Amino acid sequence: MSEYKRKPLIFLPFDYEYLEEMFRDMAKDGWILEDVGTAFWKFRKGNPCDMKYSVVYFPNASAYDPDESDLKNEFAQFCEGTGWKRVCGKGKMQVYANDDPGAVPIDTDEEIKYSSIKRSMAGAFIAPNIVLLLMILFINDNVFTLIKNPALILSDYALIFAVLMTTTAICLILMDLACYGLWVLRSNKSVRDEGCMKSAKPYGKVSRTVTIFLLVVWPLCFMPAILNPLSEESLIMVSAVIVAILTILAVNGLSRKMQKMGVSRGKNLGITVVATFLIVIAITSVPVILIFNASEDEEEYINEHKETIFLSHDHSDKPIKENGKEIDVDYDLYKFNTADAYKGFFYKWCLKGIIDEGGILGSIYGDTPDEGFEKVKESKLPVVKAYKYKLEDPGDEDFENSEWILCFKDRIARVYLDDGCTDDEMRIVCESISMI
Amino acid sequence: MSRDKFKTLTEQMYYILICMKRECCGTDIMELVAEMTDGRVRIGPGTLYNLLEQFSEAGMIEETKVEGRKRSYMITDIGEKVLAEEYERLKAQIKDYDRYFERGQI
Repeated sequence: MSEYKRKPLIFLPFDYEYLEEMFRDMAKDGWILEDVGTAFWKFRKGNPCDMKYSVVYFPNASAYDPDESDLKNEFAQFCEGTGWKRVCGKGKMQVYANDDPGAVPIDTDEEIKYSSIKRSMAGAFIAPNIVLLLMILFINDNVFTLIKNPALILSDYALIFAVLMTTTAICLILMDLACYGLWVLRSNKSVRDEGCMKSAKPYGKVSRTVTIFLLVVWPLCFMPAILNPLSEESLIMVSAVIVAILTILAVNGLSRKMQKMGVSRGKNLGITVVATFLIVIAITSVPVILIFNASEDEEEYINEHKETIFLSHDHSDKPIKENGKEIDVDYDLYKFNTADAYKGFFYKWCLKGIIDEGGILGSIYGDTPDEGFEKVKESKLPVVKAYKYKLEDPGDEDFENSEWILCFKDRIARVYLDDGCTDDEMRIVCESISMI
Repeated sequence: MSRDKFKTLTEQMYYILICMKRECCGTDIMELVAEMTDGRVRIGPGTLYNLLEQFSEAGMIEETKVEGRKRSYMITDIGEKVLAEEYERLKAQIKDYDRYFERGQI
């Protein structure tokens, strides 16, 4: 049997009752709390005992303080006489233990403890959660895209799950913040009227249950991206996320080591910030470079994907004849070997950073996406999507641009018409191209 | 910490300030209060630490000595004034109680 046992750090930081009870129950089972790491509580095998634990909040403490900081030492001196010993700590939260069942509790005034928790949570819970929320929304704009253009998201399995993951992460953060808000509201009244806080245990239980559920569901969200052969970029992104998580854990571990070595708060913070910054740059730029390199050359991309996506790439300038009518047309036609493959194709160029839907295909040909394409109502033409190049000639009111992008289930065509054409003529062009 | 916070004192605040009529450190205060009240009032180290910080910020006590990890404090004039006001408030409460029950108006 192993000498150590670990429990994941899944808790609401203001739910101290849950932690104190959990540590006490573990001690009764012979597992004595020894340390706290980046992601786990660490328990050592010992004799079962009735150990009392107290979670203490220090608003002025920092996650980068050395283990032997002045503040911790000073408080340890206060605790010496009452038998409380510091076990471990994380940021503004420190855990003390006492094997004397009759010992005076560390906190004998709930109003003061409540005030300490609130001051600690402002910096250690609310601010980081809001920053994380903004980062998710800023880095991953899939949620906004889902609102603005659900069809684009729903057209790609990998994107659907990426959005699912992002949305659930946002919901989890909002839920935790709401739990804190509710607890504070109820406790404010309770402290005013009765001098004691409301228990945070029900909120903690809800948060833990949802978090554990999501930790099981999230890896499943990666599966479509891994299995979907159309989204090699998704695979790069998934790898990047996994590497990011592992590296963040490593940086946290480094910071924790520095704490133990007695490195000052400023130095520890500085090294951690620089390391995190470099890692973020590396992690965000490597996949982008990989994706950009993969997308740099159109011909290369087409050749690379011939087997999986592209069936053929043709160019034609033969006029289209229909009922004795001849329409002068020049087009590039990409055919795919899978129905709906064009959706993956769209996604490909989205990842390249060209978000404007009209510019997605333009980028294949090296056009500047800013000029863009105007979407044409699908009902007008027998295509899945159609875009018309938005080009006007200020000097010529009658100028009619005749450049189109036509998306079919299994092909995309960029069509140039020598002269402007009517809706009927365009319909004929679409029908002809769809049958080539 | 605003001065208003200490317009009325809790039992623990009251005894901590009494202890600090003479120079003492955190451990001394906890022992003194237990002794003074025959163990009726017990102050936890967390509460004491926070209160000393708050009293200090409000200018009610001042740090007098630092020996290693041990810091000693003493009450200031502001602290004495607050303590005296609290004493008068408690005295008034007792007086009111006595007057009310002596008259037999239960």
